[in-house]
Amino acid sequence: MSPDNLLLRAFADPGLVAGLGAERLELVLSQARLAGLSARLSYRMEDAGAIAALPDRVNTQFAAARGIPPPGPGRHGPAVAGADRGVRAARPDRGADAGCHGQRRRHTWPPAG
Amino acid sequence: MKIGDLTPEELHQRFSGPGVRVRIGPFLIHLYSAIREFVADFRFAYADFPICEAHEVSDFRVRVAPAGGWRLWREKQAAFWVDGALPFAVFPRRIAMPFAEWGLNWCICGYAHQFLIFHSAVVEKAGRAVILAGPPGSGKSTLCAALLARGWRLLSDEFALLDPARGCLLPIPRPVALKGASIRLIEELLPHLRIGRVFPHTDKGTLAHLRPPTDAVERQAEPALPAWVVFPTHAESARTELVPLRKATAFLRLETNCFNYATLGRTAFEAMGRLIEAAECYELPFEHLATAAGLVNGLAELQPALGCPLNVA
Repeated sequence: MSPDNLLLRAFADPGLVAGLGAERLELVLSQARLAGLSARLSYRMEDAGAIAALPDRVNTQFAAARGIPPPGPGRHGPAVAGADRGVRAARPDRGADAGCHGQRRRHTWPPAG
Repeated sequence: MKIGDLTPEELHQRFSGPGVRVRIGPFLIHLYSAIREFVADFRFAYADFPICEAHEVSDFRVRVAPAGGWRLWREKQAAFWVDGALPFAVFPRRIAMPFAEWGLNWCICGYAHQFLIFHSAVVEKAGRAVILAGPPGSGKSTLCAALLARGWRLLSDEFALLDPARGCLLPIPRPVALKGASIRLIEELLPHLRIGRVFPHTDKGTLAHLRPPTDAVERQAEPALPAWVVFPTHAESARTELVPLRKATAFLRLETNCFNYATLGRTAFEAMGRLIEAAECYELPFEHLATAAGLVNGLAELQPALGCPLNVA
């Protein structure tokens, strides 16, 4: 990676990114994505207090890279994690058809009618 | 300014020079290409899509460029570049347009984790959307096109983009990819809509793109609430009927059509749970397209429309 690489410079000086034009911003975002460093760059920018100055679309891309969409209503708390595991365990491709859950499923899949 | 406002020559100049920033649903794509056939196909299929200003930052930088390689002795080749890299092998230049569409799908699935993404067509009527989910070949696109003929608005032919925070579906009304026999079928069903060049011998057989209706593109910032989830399955000699599905069954089936369920984890589980809770879920085996479209259309007619439209903001 060349020392002139825009991504390297962005990590070294996160404030630089906020001052870039659209073309250069696209370039640094592309480089970050290609290197698998988008999320890390977003945290680096956040730590440096430079993230608020970025265009909304860049912040959306950063949020997507972190895999954390904006918080929404109706969160059910930690119980969801257990329920999620339960649902996944009941999937036929996980072998659940062999058990009693599987027998119930055979009556409902495909549904009657 | 729209893509179709530029002459083919003007568009070619832009594509081969600074590129064109096109707003496609919630995404902004910065596209470059020096391949005239591709630019012409793109101009046809995306004629109504708006071109954005040069100062707007795009989500993806995509280049469809001529390529070399040993296959060149057989026919001209092209390559799909994104972020300055080649995620795929080169492909025949004659199928640059379908390949670019698949490439864009890959970009969205791989990076747009601000949305929960399902492999499905989505159409809307009176503010409420029906998600037509299913694997390739299940008849989603054909059924989607048939519903357009009955006054539904196209939200998407390929993806349902669910905003996990707001619970609404965002439109991305890209061209509808028609395959094989459905090309002729839809041509007869929707004579007022235009189907582009036919691409024979692609990886998915013969393929053509239905230009999205102008209204769908003009309203591409208007989301819709999911009201129905339908799993169509086209099969010869199938009895065409809407079969209600249990919510738990529908949840599991929809999850298998979700591209980033595991990536989003709890957020995905909660968002999909809310979607399934709020929507009515059906299986739709069908042989006759018109009957199937009539059944789905009946869902909207039997139930009263929403009192107030969803707030776009």
